[in-house]
Amino acid sequence: MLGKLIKHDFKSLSRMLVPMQVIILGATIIATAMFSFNLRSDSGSLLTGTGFDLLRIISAFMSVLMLLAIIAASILVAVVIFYRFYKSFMSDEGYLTFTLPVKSSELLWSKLICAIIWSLISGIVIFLSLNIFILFGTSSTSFVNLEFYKVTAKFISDTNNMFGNALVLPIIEFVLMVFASITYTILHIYLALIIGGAVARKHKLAAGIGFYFVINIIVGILSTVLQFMMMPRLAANLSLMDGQNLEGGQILTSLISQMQPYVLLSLGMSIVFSVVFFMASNYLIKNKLNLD
Amino acid sequence: MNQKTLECTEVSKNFGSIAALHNVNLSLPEGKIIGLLGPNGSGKTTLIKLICGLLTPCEGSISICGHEPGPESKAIVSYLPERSYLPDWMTVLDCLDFFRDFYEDFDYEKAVGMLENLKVPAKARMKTLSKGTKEKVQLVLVMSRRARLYLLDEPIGGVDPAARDYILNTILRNYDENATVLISTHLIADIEMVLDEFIFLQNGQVVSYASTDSLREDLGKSIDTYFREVFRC
Repeated sequence: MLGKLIKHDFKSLSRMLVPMQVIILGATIIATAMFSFNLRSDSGSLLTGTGFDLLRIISAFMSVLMLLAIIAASILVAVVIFYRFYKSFMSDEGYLTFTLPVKSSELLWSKLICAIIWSLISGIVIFLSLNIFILFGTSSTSFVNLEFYKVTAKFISDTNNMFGNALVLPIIEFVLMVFASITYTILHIYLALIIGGAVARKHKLAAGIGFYFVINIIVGILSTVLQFMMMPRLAANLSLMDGQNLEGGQILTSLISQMQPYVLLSLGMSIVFSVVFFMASNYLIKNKLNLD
Repeated sequence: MNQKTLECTEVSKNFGSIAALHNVNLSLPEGKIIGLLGPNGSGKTTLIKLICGLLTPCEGSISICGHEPGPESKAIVSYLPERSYLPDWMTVLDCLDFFRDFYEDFDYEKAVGMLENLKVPAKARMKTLSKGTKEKVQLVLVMSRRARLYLLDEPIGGVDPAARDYILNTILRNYDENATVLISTHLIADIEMVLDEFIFLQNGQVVSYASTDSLREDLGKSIDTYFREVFRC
């Protein structure tokens, strides 16, 4: 059943999000074209003449507009994800959602998995659109600009030569952190909306936004306390390093190992809070459903 | 088959300090069409929501063919709410696919046939349909399942009299010997002829539960007349 839920949830999100990604890529291509046009006219290698300044102003204006469109569209992705969640769980559609022969946890899993997949897709599209811009929109002399990639490749190989395997762990941790924080953020907002829906008779959405901040404050206090407890240890370790006369690469590797407890703590907290959010959400939709 | 289709034992439901249902005991057999009747605010919808698992009782227990409200009971209960619950961006055919995916007892061909009889455009999006047509689509979906228990909350309120007859006939024709149909309504006169039994609810309590025949034989009254007597304002 989970597979079927995911299929239908994904379909209902894609209906709105696929066109949005197309808009982002389309806007990128237009902005890139405008930008390179401006660059080339600056360097004087292109057209000159009357009316040309106006064209330049328009193209500059357009490229800024496109940039704003890209930013707006990526924010809208999040809005769409949470709007669909709200509609399916809190509105009249809830009468359909909650009479399906599935477990409440399956409903949540499906919504979570679809939201994560779409966050990743949206991230990839933005990455692609940045690369299109760097490749085609940053050179005044040639069609493609590979300079950025050459520099990046050199930086990566230099870093790799210098630190080698020492960087594997932090990179893995970074990837895990990204996943954990996406999951955490989605479940945080889901829980807030669910509490809002369960508690409020009217203005469920507004109540949900309010509870988002309430949860935020509670988590903030808890994590500050935990970090405060870890701080003295970290500081002690760092001051220990101070007297050891380490060189370049060694400083970094030593720093990475000293930071480990701190990184693991923050990763662990994201995971623990995500689990708590999921269980609380599941309990509420199972027992405290409050549809109009 | 001794097992009852629906068993409610001392079910109570409060909303804050307001008691919507108080100590409801019901035991419904299989193979009957039963009217759930009562004035506005008597707890009809609350009772139906409890049975289909949209609400949890504060006290007491509910069992549908031996299952507590949950995934197992939802698979054999076909519920028609008194509002539009289909996503408005879906087409009628999308809705059929949705039901086919989730309900094993859904008869796709039958649904298509019923939609044709009611002249519902199958490719139209839900949001383009009138309120009455939406109700027809929902009723077709719900009645195209081979469920054990049908819960119909105000099924004929918004449709025209001609469709009303078709719908009542549909309910009659679909009712096989294992299934029980519970219909909540206050349009008693319209559905009276199809009811085998009726339940009167008032202020969250069951006032009477009897068979239509016994009412006619013993008191010589129709349910409609009886209802007007019991709930006189």
